[in-house]
Amino acid sequence: MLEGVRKLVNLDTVLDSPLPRSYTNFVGRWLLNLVETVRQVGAFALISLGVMVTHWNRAKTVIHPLIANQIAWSGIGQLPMVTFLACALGFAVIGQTVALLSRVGAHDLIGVVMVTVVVRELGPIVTAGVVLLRVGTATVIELGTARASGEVEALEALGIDPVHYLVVPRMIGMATAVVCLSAYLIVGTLCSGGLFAFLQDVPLVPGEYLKQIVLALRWEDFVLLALKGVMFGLIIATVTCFHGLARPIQLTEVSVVTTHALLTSLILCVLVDAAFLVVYLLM
Amino acid sequence: MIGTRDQPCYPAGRPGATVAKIELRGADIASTEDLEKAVVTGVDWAVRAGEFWVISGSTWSGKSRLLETAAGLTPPIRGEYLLFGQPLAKLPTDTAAALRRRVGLVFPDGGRLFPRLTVAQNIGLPICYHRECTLDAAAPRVAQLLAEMGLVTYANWSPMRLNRSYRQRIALARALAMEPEVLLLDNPFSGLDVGHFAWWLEFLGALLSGHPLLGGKQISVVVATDDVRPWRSVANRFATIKDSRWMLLDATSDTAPGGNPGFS
Repeated sequence: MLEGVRKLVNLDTVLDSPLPRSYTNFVGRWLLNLVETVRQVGAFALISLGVMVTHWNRAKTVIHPLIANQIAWSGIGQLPMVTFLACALGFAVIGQTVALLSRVGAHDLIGVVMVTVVVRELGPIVTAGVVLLRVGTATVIELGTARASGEVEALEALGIDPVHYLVVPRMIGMATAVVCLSAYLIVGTLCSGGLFAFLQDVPLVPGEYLKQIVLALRWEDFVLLALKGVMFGLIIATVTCFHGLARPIQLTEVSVVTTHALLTSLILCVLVDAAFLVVYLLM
Repeated sequence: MIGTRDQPCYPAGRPGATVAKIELRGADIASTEDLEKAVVTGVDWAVRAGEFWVISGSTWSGKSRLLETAAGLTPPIRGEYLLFGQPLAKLPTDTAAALRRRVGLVFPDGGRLFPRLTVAQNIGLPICYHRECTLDAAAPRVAQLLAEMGLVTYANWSPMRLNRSYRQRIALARALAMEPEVLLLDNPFSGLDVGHFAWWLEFLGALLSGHPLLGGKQISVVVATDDVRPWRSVANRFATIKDSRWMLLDATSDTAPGGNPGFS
């Protein structure tokens, strides 16, 4: 009897039971799964951060080149795509803003709008999206394949900590890449937006546009931008590494795991973004 | 010196014996699929200096798990596990890791090499990681290992370009890079070309008697296999896993190596 009750309240048992038919139960199941995944990812993140701190000065000749490679791939490798997105965002935001503000004669708010929309919101989240889609996906596949083919056990047999060798460089690399790419995307978007405004013959001189942006920016924006970038980078790295490495998988499961990793990363990034929005509102 | 086959079998923890390099006492070995389920039970086993063990058993009998447990990668479900006389589970992480590095493990079916690294990088990785040096600094040791394995030509190749026989040699070189005192080989002949058998037997025999590659140091060798016959000439200790039970075999008995107990 007691054993039966234990089984009933065991979360794993609940999650493994057949899918309920009602929509509310389905949503409940989905939420429980999400909470359980977040808990596991949180534990994995703490372990990885612990390894990062305790192994900080260990095996530098091996780990530092891996970090450099990761920054080159996640950061420099994504510059062409980010440049394209910066131009597209600048044109879109300025195009819409100018059209709207011209109607009400509020050109002096363009800088404020650009800072609010691009610096605080679109810059970091769009960059995180690019890194997630282009680097995160490849990371899950790479690590999932490595796990399925027994490379993780091979590392352990050689006395090499798999988290130190496989996860830490990715965490540092992706966090650095998202911060730097966010700054690059924001600068690119503001420049392309200014250029678009100038080409549209809007009565806004470049000096005035720049002045409006500078006046709208606060020092907290820079701190929160860096924090957001680091958080997004760490989330993407941790979630993709977790799904690739944390449990034994077969090669056939790699594609499913990749989809889960992308979805979980996206949801967590949006949730963190929402938390930052609250901070901005309190500022 | 290659060990003789006239040594008596003795149980683990024999009084007066030297400290065993690896020792399992009443150990149950966990299954890969379910860590709480025993795949081999009642393992009383000690590996001492100069011993060449051959452990036989049919496919899925738990040989690989036994070797992983012996290497300190997986704790036994029950019983004691001692590495160089010390209980690994009770040691601080760094001490345990340092002890584990004194054991080399060669995985089967191509050795689980890292496909994104070259052959030389695969061999140099443990050296660079543990000795905090660059691959250039580790180059003399890597070159020595490559030369012994007959792999000099392929140093800058991806291991995936080589066939399984050569990948297995790379895995052996990688396991020997840190100069282990015990070498565990999981089904090393699996998928190997027959022409490579003689090289392996000769090389492992030389390791047992003190190979220049390890500074003449005598090491212990453990081979898990499903076919004992090729190993009769070099091994001096035999055991088998049958019906999930661990059984030491008398090396003097005709039924041990010749009878191929893994299939009996």
